[in-house]
Amino acid sequence: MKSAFIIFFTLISFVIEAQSIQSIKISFVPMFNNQLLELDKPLNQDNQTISKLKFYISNINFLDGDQLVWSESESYHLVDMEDRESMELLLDIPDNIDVSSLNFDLGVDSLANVSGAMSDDLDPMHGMYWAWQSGYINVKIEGKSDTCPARKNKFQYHLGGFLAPNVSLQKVSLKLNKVEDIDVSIDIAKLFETIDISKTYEIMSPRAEAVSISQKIASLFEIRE
Amino acid sequence: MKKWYIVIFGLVFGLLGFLESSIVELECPDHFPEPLYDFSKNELRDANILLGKTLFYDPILSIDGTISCASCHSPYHAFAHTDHDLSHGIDDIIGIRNAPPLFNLAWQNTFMWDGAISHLDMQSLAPMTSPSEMGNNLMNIIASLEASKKYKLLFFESYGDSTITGQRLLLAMSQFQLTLVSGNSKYDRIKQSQDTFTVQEKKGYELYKVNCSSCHTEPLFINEDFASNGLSVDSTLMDFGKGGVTMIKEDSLMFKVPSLRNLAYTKPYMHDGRFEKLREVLNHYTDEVQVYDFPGSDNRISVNVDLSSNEKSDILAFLRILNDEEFVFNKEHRER
Repeated sequence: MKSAFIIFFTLISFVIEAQSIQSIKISFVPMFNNQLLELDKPLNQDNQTISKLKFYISNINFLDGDQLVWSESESYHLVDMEDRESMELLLDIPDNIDVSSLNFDLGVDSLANVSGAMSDDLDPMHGMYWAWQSGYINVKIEGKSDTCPARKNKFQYHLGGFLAPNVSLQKVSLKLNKVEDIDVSIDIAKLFETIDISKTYEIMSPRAEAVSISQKIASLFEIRE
Repeated sequence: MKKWYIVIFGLVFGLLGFLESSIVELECPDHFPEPLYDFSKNELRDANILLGKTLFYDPILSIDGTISCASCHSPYHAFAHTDHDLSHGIDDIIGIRNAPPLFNLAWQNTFMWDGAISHLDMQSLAPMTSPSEMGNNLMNIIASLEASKKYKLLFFESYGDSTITGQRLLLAMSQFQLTLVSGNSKYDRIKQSQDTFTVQEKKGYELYKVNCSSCHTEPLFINEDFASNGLSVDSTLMDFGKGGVTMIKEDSLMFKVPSLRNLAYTKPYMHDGRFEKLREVLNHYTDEVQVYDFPGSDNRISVNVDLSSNEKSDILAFLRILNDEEFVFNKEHRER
């Protein structure tokens, strides 16, 4: 008899729990001058194209004021424009919670950088790990532009570095009122307003420029109404 | 119907095989400190060690299938590349550094002469992907392994399913390399009161303690640190060691301190293999130390060491008892 009660209450609690969890979707939407960004498509009079846009989003959490309301465990996501599915992150979070901001890191924290071989999105096979010098590449942007003096006019920004003074990981905080499906846009055109491709076209190791470009990119994340 | 029985039998048997692949305890001498490697994240198992060993000896890892890890890290030479001052890659490309021996890696947290790698698991990635070594990339290696029946089975036996990922590959590579423990030299037997110094070895040991031990610290004869030992810069290589990685002036010409174990099998010496004989190394420390105008550091040798010719012979006698014959002749470490 006692065990029947336990089973009964367990079932009830499952039902209650099932009701209180909602699934929401955070979609990343890369833009170029308020237009949806398309890979390998000329974007301006310099025939600038973006051929690759990949970045790590980690440590996703919701705050109410400065109070932590919910955080994702094992929160590491590789967002890759060439893989549509990776652009949408699904989160199972409690229903009816009060929140005032969505927060995440652009990049991989230093602990994951020194924890050896990792799995899933952190697996080094995704080409987001520097083999010759330990560490994750937090953001990879590649493309072409007539103004780029490099071979085949290719520019490559591989932004990473987890050791001081060149820590490239950036914190992003976006204001919001309620938890629902969220579109987060990143207008890459604004990044290139601050970079002179004819001078800065190849960053492949941790350094000060990688940090400043990462800061700029982090500032471009916006919730799209 | 009968086919199904065979499939189910096969699956159950395979699963049992996975479970039976027992956890292996790393054998290390009592006088060694606790390993730095976190084995809880990569528990040693027979099947995984075998997978790592098979990969280590397989040229499948290089882009043109010509060289394996063992090409430059030979088990007969304590996993170094004897008689080659600089490492050799695909197409006979010569690298810029002397391939170091591989042993006692569980007690190390920094790798490469310049410390560019901060975890053993990630170390194997560097030679696999370097254009002047194996010239490959991880995706391509995984594709080659996926196409191999042998590796599908080895991965199944190691991980319980045949999925091949970068993580699984790297963890297995670590497993084999972690088993390369060298701790059976005469020195180790003396530490365990099973043997005694000769008079000359004892003299050499005392001289070592005064002149060498602050960097080459017992019992592993490393200090997990970097030092500038007064070598002149080779103008054909222009290698500044750790400074080339960190871009910090203080790190210029700093190289990782190598172990003094197994020197008889690992010539030539130094990061660029410039010395053929150990006596040349000692002569460098007594006569040829270069002083560079770089910011100060405790790990920068700036004066010649004072040793007579006889004292050098005593030190060489001590270094000889750090050679671990049992390690070099261990059949377990070799390709079967």
